Amino acid sequence: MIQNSETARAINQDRSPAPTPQKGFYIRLLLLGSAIMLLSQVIISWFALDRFEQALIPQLNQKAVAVGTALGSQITYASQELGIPINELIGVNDFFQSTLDSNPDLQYLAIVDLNEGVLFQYNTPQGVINSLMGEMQKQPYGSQGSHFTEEIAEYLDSRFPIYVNGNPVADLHVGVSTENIRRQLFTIVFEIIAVIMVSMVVTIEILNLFMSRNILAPTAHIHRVFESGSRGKFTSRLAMRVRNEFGIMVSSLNRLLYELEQRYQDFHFELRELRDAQIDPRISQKISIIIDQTNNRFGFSDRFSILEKTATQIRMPFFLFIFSEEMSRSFFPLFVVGFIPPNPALSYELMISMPITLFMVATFLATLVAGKWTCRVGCSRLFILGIAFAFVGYCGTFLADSYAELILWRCLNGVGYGLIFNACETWIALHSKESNRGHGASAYVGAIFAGYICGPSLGGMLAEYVGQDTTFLISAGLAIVSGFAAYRLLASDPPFHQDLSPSLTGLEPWKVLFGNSRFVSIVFTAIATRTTLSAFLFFLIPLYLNELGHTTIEIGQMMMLYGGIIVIGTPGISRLCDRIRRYFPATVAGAIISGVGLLFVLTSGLIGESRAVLVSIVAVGLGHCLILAPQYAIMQKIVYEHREQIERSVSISIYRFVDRIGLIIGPILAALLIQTTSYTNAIAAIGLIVLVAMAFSVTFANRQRSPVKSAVKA
Amino acid sequence: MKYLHHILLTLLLGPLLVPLAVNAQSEQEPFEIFAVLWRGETAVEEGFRDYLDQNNIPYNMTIRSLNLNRDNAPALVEEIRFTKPDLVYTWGTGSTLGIVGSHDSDTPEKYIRDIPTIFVLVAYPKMAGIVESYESTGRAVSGVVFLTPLDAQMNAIRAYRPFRKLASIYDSTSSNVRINVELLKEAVPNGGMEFVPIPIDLDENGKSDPNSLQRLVREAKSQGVDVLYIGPDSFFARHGDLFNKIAIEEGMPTFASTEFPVKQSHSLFGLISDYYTVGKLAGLQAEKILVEGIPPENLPLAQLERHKLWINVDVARALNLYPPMNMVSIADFNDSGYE
Repeated sequence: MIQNSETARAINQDRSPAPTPQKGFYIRLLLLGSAIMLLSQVIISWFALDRFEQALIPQLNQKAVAVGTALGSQITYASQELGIPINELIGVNDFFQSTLDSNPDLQYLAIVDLNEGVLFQYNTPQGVINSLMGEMQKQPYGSQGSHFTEEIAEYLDSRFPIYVNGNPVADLHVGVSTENIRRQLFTIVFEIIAVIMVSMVVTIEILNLFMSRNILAPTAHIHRVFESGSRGKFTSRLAMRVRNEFGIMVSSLNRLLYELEQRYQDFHFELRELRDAQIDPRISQKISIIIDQTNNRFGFSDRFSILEKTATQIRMPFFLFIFSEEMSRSFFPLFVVGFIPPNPALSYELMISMPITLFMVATFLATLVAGKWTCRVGCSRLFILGIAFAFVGYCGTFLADSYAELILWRCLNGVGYGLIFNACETWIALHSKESNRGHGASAYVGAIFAGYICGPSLGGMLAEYVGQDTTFLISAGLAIVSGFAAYRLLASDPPFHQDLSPSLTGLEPWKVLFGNSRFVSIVFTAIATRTTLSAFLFFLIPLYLNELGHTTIEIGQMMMLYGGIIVIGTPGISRLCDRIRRYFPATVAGAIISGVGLLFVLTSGLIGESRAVLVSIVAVGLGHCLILAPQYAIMQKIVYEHREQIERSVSISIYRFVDRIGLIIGPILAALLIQTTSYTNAIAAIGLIVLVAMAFSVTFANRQRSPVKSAVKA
Repeated sequence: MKYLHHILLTLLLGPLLVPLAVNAQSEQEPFEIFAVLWRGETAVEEGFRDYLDQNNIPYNMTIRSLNLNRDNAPALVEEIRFTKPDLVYTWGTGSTLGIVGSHDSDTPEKYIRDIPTIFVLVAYPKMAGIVESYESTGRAVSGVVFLTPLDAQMNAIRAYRPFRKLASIYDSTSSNVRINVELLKEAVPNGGMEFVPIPIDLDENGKSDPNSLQRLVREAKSQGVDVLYIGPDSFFARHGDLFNKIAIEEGMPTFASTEFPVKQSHSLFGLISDYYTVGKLAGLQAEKILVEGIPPENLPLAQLERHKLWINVDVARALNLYPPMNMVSIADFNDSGYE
């Protein structure tokens, strides 16, 4: 989930090119395909859920009957065999409590006597007690060994008459909450939605790859041939080996071009013959002029042009890799807990945070180092090298026995992550022209977002069903698929000798940028945003939600919500900011929303802990939507202002460097906070930090403005 | 393929050979076991014999009793030396110390030191000096630990009712009991109760006097004691009925840590190791020594993992102190015949 500044750029620029006819066709096809798939999935899921619901209620009732029968026989034994009068039974509430604790599907237990009313009960709502008494008046006790189920208020109540020495003495009631049934169904509905979303995203990615490789790229190429043909230039033919309609069309087109060239050559030959046969030099000169004119009007050559590699080709392998990495997002801190030795060197909480922090550090260092390698080995090789690191890291994590091993393998993963990020950024920089840079970057960002949505939710489910360690093995498998895709799609990409990695060693650019108050202002917001991401979302959410009793499936779904909001919200907000041209207020609003959203966990006493966390996640998602794109736009302006002093790439790299510090300090900060205080207070403290950072950001931004204003006044 | 044939043949013929092997074992000469008991046979010996029989271990068992007097031990030591059994079996701390002595005894020649021995029903084998540790006995002796852990006993007592003050009226002449009282001084407060140790008065012979029991129970009651504890105390094997009846008359519940007061007398309840099961576990220890040839010094003391919560429902009725429902589903109920 390491977002990049490219995010905003992509989102900003992606809107610019008007859809070409083929793109319109592509979008329609994509929408149609997705709609059909979504519809079919929804229908199938609906039927499955309906069947499941029909099966679940009798199943739960069966459990109530089993528990009721067992409890009833024990109460009968105590009364009849041990001679304890039913109203003198001891410790019934504890007995009921332990029964309900081990059967969380059941809601309440009660023993009701016709004359004395409710003798014992546990967790029975008052409304139900009143109804039970009313029922008893109408229909006292059933026959021995029978049971009777009816719906009382929101509960399915099963009644078991208790007989002592052949006489009915009381009824045992076992209640199942229909709300509980609904909640279970709801959980399953969420799981289905998550699976549908993941499969939709994967389908769209595959469709995207297929379309751009087999349809969009060749049509664009053919389009270019026709375009130049319309200007009389038939200078290229298409080299394409595809056995489909496009292949047939391309070979026809090549034949056509060949025939045209042959005829043109014949015509030329005849013209030259005609010119040479003339005695009158004026006529021969006229023919020469015609020959020259035709040469100018029509151009031919035998050159075969190869389909160019496009920036978007990296999208599929990159998506698969991000997907594999995000799989462990919802449970990683919980996974680390199992490795902490009995007498840890650091505090327990810092020990949990270390593998996450060191992963970030490894990523950061790998990104710095990889810049030099990229030009030497080429993007595809660097990508595959990154995959090799990641694969070894995942397998090692699966096999890890000790904390030190876990750290080692996760650092290898981090190195892989850094290399792959670098390979992608460079690939896009190399394979996109100025005109379609936005499109290329959007492919890159789109892959990250798709991974955001798919990884945590699917990973959470897999962790629950196959185990957390096995999920890493599945990640390793996905990494291999990603490597294979990279090999097929990016292969034969030669090393280049253009150093794209800017040098950050000189102090001068740093001085210039940090001398700019607006730069300092956005650095505050950027670091606070990153800290929120790594401290709150990556670290505290899994731990806190786990403590609240949520499964990794639920944690994954809640985290997916953040990804979903970013995907849906960012483009719209970016467009809005562009229209109203107010970038800085947007970042301030975003910081306020995310900061206040984090403080919202303090209201958990009022709305429930899980709901409060959910609100915080949504608020952080919305806040980050407001921050990401405008922040990049501001950065672009700053870069433009200093274009004379600092190269663009250097400015961007410095910004990115500072920005990533937030990711590194986040987990450590969170660990230190939960060491001293509760989860809710820790989350609220991060909220406060965001708000304080925002205040600094506003102060610095104003400092920049004030001299301007005073100058104007003067 | 050649090997595959061999493997298949072995797999097919293997089951046929098992009965032959078993027959061969049953035809072997029986092991000689010499049992020294304290007060005659109990369910422990029944469990011990049943285990050996069920596992086709041939044996002859010679039974002797010390008749509650350790002075009878030297004669039996002589008899054991003469008969040279394969295994010596001792019941209780007194018998065990009488036959094998303590591990650091100054007069080892008076005891059996070279014949493998297993003991049963010894409350505190380490504190009594019979073994060096539970894991490694340090001598040709092993056995079965039968007392339930004290914290589990305290939990059981508190689960019955939230009692506040527990008294142990005990025979101060028994070393076993003194150890028990020392341990209770720590365990009872840990279990959330106050502990009141009350030694039984001694008569002119220096023996604990049963006639003082009624007064002591009343005294305990006046001190606010609400539950009485019976430890591994052979005094109560003789005077348990008297003590329990006094307690019931005074409306005081009694908890027993051994089988006898609760199964054969009228204690209200007890968390006990079932004698029969203890005997079976001793049979398993004997099998390891006799059949598998493991030296007793390498055999850690065995302990039951599950204990029985035993409740005398007639006593509960008499005291109007019924067990809580959580116990109804797990306890064994008995009618002790209290009238």
